[in-house]
Amino acid sequence: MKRLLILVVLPLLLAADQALADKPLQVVCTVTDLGWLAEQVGGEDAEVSVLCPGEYDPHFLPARPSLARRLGKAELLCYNGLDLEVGWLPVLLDKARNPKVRPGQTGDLDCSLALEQVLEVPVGQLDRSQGDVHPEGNPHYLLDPRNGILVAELMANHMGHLRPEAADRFRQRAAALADELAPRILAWQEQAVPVGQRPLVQYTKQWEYLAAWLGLELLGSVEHRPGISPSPRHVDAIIGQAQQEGVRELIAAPWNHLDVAAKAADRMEAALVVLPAAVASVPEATDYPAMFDVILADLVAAAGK
Amino acid sequence: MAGFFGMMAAPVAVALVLVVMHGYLGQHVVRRGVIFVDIALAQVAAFGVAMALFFGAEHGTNAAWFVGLGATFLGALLIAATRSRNDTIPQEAYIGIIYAVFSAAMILVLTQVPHGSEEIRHLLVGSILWVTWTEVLKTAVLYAVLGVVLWRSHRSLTLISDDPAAAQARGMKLARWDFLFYAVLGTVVTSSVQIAGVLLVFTLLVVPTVMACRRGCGGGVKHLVFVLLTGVLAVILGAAASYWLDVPTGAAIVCVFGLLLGSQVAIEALAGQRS
Repeated sequence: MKRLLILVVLPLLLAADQALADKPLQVVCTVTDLGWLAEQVGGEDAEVSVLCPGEYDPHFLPARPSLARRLGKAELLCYNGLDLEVGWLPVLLDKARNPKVRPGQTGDLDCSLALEQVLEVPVGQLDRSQGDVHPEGNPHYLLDPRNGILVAELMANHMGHLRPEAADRFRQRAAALADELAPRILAWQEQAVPVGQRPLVQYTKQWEYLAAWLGLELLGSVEHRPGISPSPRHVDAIIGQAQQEGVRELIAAPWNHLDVAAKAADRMEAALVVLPAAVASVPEATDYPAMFDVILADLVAAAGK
Repeated sequence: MAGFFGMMAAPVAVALVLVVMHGYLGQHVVRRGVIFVDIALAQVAAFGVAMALFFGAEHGTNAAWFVGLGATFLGALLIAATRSRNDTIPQEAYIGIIYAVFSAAMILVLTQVPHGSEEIRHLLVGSILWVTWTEVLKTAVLYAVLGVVLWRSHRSLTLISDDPAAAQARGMKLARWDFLFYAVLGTVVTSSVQIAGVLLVFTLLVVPTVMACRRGCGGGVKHLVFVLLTGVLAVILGAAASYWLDVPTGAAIVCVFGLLLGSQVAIEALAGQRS
């Protein structure tokens, strides 16, 4: 009887395993930038879905049951890491009950592991008085496209482990993406030269990687403690500094409180420049390279005024 | 650098405009025992604004403001209709229910709007530090118009607040007057919450009147003057604390109000022991 059972069940299991291997890899990404990168690397060997739509602030995504359901079907979860999604991803993972993508499992991919250098890792004591500060460093590394290339390579390796038969294709696609982005990165850097002449002020701490990559100088941020309203003296100081240094642009993400940002820009006698901080955060930023096209075009246009 | 006066003049000015209006309305709110009505109305208004955002209006536009105002009138109608004729269920219960249900409904709507969570945070704490002189002027003009309405109906409203049974005996239609009062309160709160946030608006409305009432809830000019003076004192102390201690302005003013009320209670207790 037992032998008969094995004879019947084993081929079924093998067939199921084979069917799983033929099916595209189910990838869930937290943010749109990672979603685009995963699509480029995965091609027809992966099906990618994104949890946080581009227009939403990835710090504060409202948890919805449908998100947990999508996470439940994932074989690979790619997230930004450095605590960007700490407000909602752990809760969703709890609800999703999917052992494959739990921390430390094969389907868990913290994309920040691809970085060579994390900016602004804080030193010394941390506490809540500093607002939603990221204890592991600044998480907005995808605003430097060179990091996008690193992340794509990491994804290719990881997807290759999960689907060994497609490993070569993943690696080839990541390499093709790097080749495609390399000349555009140089062009963007070229474009940014006139922008770097004057310092900028940012509304929230979001643009450090962009600035470091393009050689822009950021004077400071209006909301210096993310998630907490700024104090009058801080606002006074940053406005005074902005006027002294001849700042003409205040840059903000589309999900910042633009009412307040516009008022801050007014007081600095600067223009408010809203830049896409993620793929699809504005309609023109249709994909990852297009996002940098828009960022550079907007910065150059503002600097030319 | 603008310094203390450059930074804080407009926020203090708008807070003083709010103190006058909320100080007066607060008397009625406390005497009617409908303490949380302002928060409930503000929440209904916020729900209206959320609906406007959901249907594609931009934040801070006239369309959003009018939809918010329309929702507030709906809230005023609901609250006027819940004046309790049944003593076992206080009106506060219905007000609490209106608050909870409209808050939840707003969350449902705002999760469908990209910048929803930022809006929710903004409604709670406001952004009084960023108020412009144009906004100060707009608020002052709006409140002056509503002030005329209140002044003309002061006597009837006071009678209903103090002794609704007597008012009804005189043949006054309570529901209509209630609607007028809540509609005015709602309009005031809708605009003040946008500037100062729910926490500060609630404090401005209730704390000065409670402090005045601890000294005898007589009403009248003396009462109003006391309300205004405590309001002015708290706003200026709070603004100064915010500037020199380097903390957010709205929260600082709310805490100063709390401290003032606490010290008043302590001083009264000490004086009571001595005599």
